[in-house]
Amino acid sequence: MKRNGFMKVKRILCTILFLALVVGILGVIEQAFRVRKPSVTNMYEEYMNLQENTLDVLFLGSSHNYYTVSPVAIWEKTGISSYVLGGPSMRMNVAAEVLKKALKTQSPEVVFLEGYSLSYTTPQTTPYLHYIYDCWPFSWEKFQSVRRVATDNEAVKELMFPIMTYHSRWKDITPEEIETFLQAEESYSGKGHIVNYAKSSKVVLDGSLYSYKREIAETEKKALEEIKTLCESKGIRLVLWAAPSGKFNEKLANNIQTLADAHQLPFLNLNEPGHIAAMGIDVAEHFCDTSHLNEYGAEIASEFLAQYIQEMGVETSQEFAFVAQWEDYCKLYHHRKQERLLRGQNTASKFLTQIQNLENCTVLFVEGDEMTNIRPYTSDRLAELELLEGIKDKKSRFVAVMNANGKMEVTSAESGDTKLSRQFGENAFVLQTAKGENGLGSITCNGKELLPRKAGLGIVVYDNLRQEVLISAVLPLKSENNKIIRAS
Amino acid sequence: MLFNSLSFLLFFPLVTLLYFALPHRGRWIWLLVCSYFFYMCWNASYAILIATSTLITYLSGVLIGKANENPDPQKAAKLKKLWVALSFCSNLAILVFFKYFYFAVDNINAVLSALHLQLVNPSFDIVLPVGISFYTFQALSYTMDVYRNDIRPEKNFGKYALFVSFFPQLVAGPIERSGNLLNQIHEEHTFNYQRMVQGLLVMAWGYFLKMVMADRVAILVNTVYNDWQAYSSGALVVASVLFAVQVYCDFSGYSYIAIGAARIMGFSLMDNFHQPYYSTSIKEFWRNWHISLSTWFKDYLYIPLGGNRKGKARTYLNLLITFLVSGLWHGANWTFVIWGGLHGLYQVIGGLTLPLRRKATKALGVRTETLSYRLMQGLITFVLVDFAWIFFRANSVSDSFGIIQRIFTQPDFSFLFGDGLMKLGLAGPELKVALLSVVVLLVGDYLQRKMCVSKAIMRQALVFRWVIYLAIIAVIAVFGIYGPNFDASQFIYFQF
Repeated sequence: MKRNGFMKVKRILCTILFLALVVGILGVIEQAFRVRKPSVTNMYEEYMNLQENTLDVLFLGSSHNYYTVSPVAIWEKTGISSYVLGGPSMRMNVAAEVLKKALKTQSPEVVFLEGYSLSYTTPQTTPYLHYIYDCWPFSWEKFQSVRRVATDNEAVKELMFPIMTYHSRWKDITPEEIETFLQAEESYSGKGHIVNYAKSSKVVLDGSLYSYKREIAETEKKALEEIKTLCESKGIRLVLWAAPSGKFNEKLANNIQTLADAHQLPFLNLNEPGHIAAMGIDVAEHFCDTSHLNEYGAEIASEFLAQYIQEMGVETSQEFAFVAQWEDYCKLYHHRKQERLLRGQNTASKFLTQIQNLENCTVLFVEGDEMTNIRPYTSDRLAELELLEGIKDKKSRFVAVMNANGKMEVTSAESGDTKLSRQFGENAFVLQTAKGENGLGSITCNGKELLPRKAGLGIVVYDNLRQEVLISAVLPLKSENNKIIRAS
Repeated sequence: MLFNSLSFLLFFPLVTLLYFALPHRGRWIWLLVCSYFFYMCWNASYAILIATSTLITYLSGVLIGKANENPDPQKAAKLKKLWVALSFCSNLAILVFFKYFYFAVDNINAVLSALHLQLVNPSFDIVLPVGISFYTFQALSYTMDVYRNDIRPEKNFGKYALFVSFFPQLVAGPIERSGNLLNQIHEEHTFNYQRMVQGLLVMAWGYFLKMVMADRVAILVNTVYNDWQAYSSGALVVASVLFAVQVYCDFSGYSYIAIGAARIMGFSLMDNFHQPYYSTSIKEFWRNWHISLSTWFKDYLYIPLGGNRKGKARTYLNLLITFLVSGLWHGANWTFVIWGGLHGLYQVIGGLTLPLRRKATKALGVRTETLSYRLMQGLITFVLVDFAWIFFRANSVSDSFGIIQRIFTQPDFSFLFGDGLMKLGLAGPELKVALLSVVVLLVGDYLQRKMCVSKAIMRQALVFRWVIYLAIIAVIAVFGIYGPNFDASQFIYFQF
């Protein structure tokens, strides 16, 4: 009898353990195969990991919202902690669901609701809902929320079990994605802000790009009421606003204004000519497409918003420790921003031009071949950038090695002795002799080779604030059209 | 509710848990309710048909049982024949109406059109109820078994209704016999851990066959067959061979899931497939393919027709009739009739030429027990079976002949060199998975011939066992065809 009882318990435990393993494996598969667009999904993942009650302002709405608002710019101007939550073509009912979830962990003083969401009438598509719901833990709360916004039962299943969507990506997964997954890299979404540096020349702000003539749908009005009630119940001020957009017209503005008046809500329409002028928006420079601001536009629009928030009397309630976190975050933000700007350059000359715009960085150049070959287009710039003394004149190859104490040593290839050193901010870089394989220069950092051993001008950009390598690349020597080769 | 749907993955554990939690006397009621719910998930009104069929065959069983008690043997025999005839006629009438009505109308219209007469235009729509052929045959087998005194009539209508509607095998078999399943419904099944694990393993194999293999290969087959004029003979051959894989994996996959699910609950369903593509003759193929149906036709059609007891000519005629009816059972289309007829013809020709072949092998000194001879026989059998599958898969008779004509008159296998294979609807990695799966299938079937693979796995050490289980689950989860991009293709045999 005792043995039977023991066997029963053992089997029950085994079954539970096995089921846990199955769930674990399916979870790993789902995570590994999930689309890792560094965008909207990250925005929610990062939000879930925020320390509780650390937001002063929350922005909510469609893509206009997250392209326009840069919480870093707002913080740097006002010290007010904000976050952006949104989704492509986000419907108001989805915004309501997102807000309900968001307010479980945060208690902002103000919620800014982007008015463009009021203009939609078609149901939120399931792929867009994936962005929002993929990182919600499997729970009854998620099920209830999904049921309220999903188009049908199939969509509910798909959103509750994202593996159904992502498993078929096994053939599309890139080695980079696997690496990202395995390394569990620090997720980054810019506090919800999506960065885009593209420039569009097709933007006009007279409303002619948008043929919106409808009235706001009853469903959207109802969802707005729900949002308003929720905010009121928590003592949160609600502001309707509209981001600068080529696809915003007077009809929509009037519709939102009428609704705002009816609900006694403020409506900040940044499309008004006065605001556009005050911000200094230049349609040729500040839009990434006909609808959305690019990063340059976002920075100036966010500064404007920051001023508006200050005028509302919002003050940061954050503690000193959190301020330090924000400062760190801002460093990371600028680090990633600079990295992204550099990665976006596809020719040697553009890359070198962009290097000149870097802030708080050290740039290390290493010859991959005779220096004379690159002189026609780089020698002057090398001089401008105050490069390591002597490097540009030497026809030798170098290997730079980062020491355990964070110092980079660079030595000439011929002698093997330390010959040159120079102080860059707080970081000492020492040149150390070594000879690259195949006679080509290379740089290694903490044992990791930063430059592929290819002929060309090797460049390592070091972020002085974050104290880590920002990017490394080899620029082609003879032709500007050759592709830039990057090692990181 | 498809077996490969999320709904079933939630439904089945819930049903099983409550089944074992309930006292024995209430279990059949629970299973009956669940079976009807399972069936009504397709279309609630279908339940009326299955209930009607159940009621007719139940009453016929009761009446036949009463007729048996009649002291006058002649009258008893007459009454029994009457009740069995009524049961068969009414059930087959329902089946024919719902399944063959449009087929009949199309054929009548073809004749009327040839005679330049006004065509029949029915003013109502008929939707084919899922699995009607399966449960009708299962119910009819009960009537016949009672008529033959093989079993006693079931008194409990509810338990009989469960026999007809038992959800694991309701819509695509195996077509169970009352002597097997009905008795098990009366028995008490206690929970058995080992049996559950074995059942889950059998289900997992079924899911692998259906989701990883059948539905993947179907992409290629459908691409080629639905636009066959655009493809070379080589592509048509590849698609035809892969259809053989698809139809086997699809149907046997369903059967394995059904058998595994029933086993977990303590029921033992009959095997439906015994590695049919390892058969060395058409006769052997039919002993291993869709066994529950082929034995049904043998027991309730071929033998009543006289079987092989009335001379060779009559035997061959009976064979042809049986296979033609079997073809028609599969679908209301001449393609299925031709498919069945071809298999009948293969057997007739096989029977007729058997003495000649035996003489030839003897005269030539061919050693029939060698592996090479058996391989050759297996290959010939597969080619014949696969040739018939062309009719089974093609969208129409004219398509079938068009495909065959292209294969035999315009041989072109140049597409095999280069990336031709990749242009048949399955991209490179998908094709590799499909081909690798075929190897897994062949190895799996080979091992299954030698041993019970599930039991062999269960004998292994815990860690190794679990690695195998988890690997199977991971493979199905990753490589299975399901989810939003998947056109939830039903099991091929549901339409029958």
